[in-house]
Amino acid sequence: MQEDPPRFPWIALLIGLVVGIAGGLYYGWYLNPVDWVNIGPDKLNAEDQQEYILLVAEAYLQEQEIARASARLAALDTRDIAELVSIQADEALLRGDDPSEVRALTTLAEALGASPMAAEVFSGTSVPATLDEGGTATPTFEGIASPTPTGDTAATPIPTQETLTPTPQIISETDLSLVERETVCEIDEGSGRIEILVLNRDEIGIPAVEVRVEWGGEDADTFFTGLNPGVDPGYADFDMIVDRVYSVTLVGLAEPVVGLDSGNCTADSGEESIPTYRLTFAPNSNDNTEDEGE
Amino acid sequence: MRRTLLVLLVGLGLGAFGGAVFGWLVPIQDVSTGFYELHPDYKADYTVMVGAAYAADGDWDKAQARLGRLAEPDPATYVVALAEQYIAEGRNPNDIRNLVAMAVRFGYTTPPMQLYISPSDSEQ
Repeated sequence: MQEDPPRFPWIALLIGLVVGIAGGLYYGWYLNPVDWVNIGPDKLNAEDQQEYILLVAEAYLQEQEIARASARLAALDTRDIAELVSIQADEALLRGDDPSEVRALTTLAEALGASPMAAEVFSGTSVPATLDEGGTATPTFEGIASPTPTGDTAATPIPTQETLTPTPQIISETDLSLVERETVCEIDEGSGRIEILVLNRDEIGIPAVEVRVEWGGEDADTFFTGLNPGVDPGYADFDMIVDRVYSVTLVGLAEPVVGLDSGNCTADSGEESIPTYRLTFAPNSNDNTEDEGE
Repeated sequence: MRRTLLVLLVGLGLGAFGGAVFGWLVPIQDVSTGFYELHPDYKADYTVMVGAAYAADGDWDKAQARLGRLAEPDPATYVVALAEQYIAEGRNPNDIRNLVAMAVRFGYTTPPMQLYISPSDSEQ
């Protein structure tokens, strides 16, 4: 009688494999996870990717090489880089980030063919290094904008006719102007203020617009709209000192408004007070008229 | 019995190897990282962009903070070495000028850089 050859221990092999795989995965995932070195920008964390995009935009302002900027952004391995930059520009605008950063992002987004909401304020106002003494903005990227509006235009509070225009909208020093100037003399907490409101064509407040107030020939203060969003995203105000003459400038966007006198005025009640000036700026259009009231 | 034990050990070894390799290739954790892990070529391009941004805005604190993100032991030495490398390789003159401007701002000038130093660099 011959003894059967021993059967292959499949069960032992299976148990060994299962336990081994479990142990290997635990080792590879938790004990000694992969350590990435020599990565590309696509592996950067979200914060650094945003910083990378901003840096590409700022470098673009200096280099003016859209192919190079595109190649750098392509390293992020994102399908629609124009949209990506456009979204970041709008987010920066709404956060009230440094206007120079918003300008850089907006300029790059437009050069890539996108239409960011931030272009309402910053389109064509970038390239500070090329501005001449008079501050005339240069529409550097004319003709590069995509003729087909991207998806973000649906959320953009710009009239349809505007967003379908293939040429980027240029806002320069003469594109925003004073459309309403009201002087009020009342006895209340708000007296003696300069109240500034910057609106886009849809009469929606534009935040992050740099405002410069000057008085006395030497003194000046700079601040931005949108710091009091409870009033309006495009609102800013400034408390005047009595008996000074002030001027207000939307830096790079509108001509100065001068002669805002904080000398005493007489309210309806007959009491002395300091006047409050309410200045409203908006993009130029044919039907805009300056309305001055007392 | 001995054979069974041997097969079990072989299975364990194969499984552990395969599991670890799979774990490394398909990580479950967030593998995103910072600028300090960039490939040297990307680090160099990042530095070039920092130089371009610095040339545009002149904000040295910002440029230094950005260079700091690369976690190079000595950012100044890194910028100087990169500037000299770009000069030696005959790269884009504007990139070289921007890198040299940062090197000068760090307080370093070397003979190869002389051609690319602008008067405004040395004034700072």
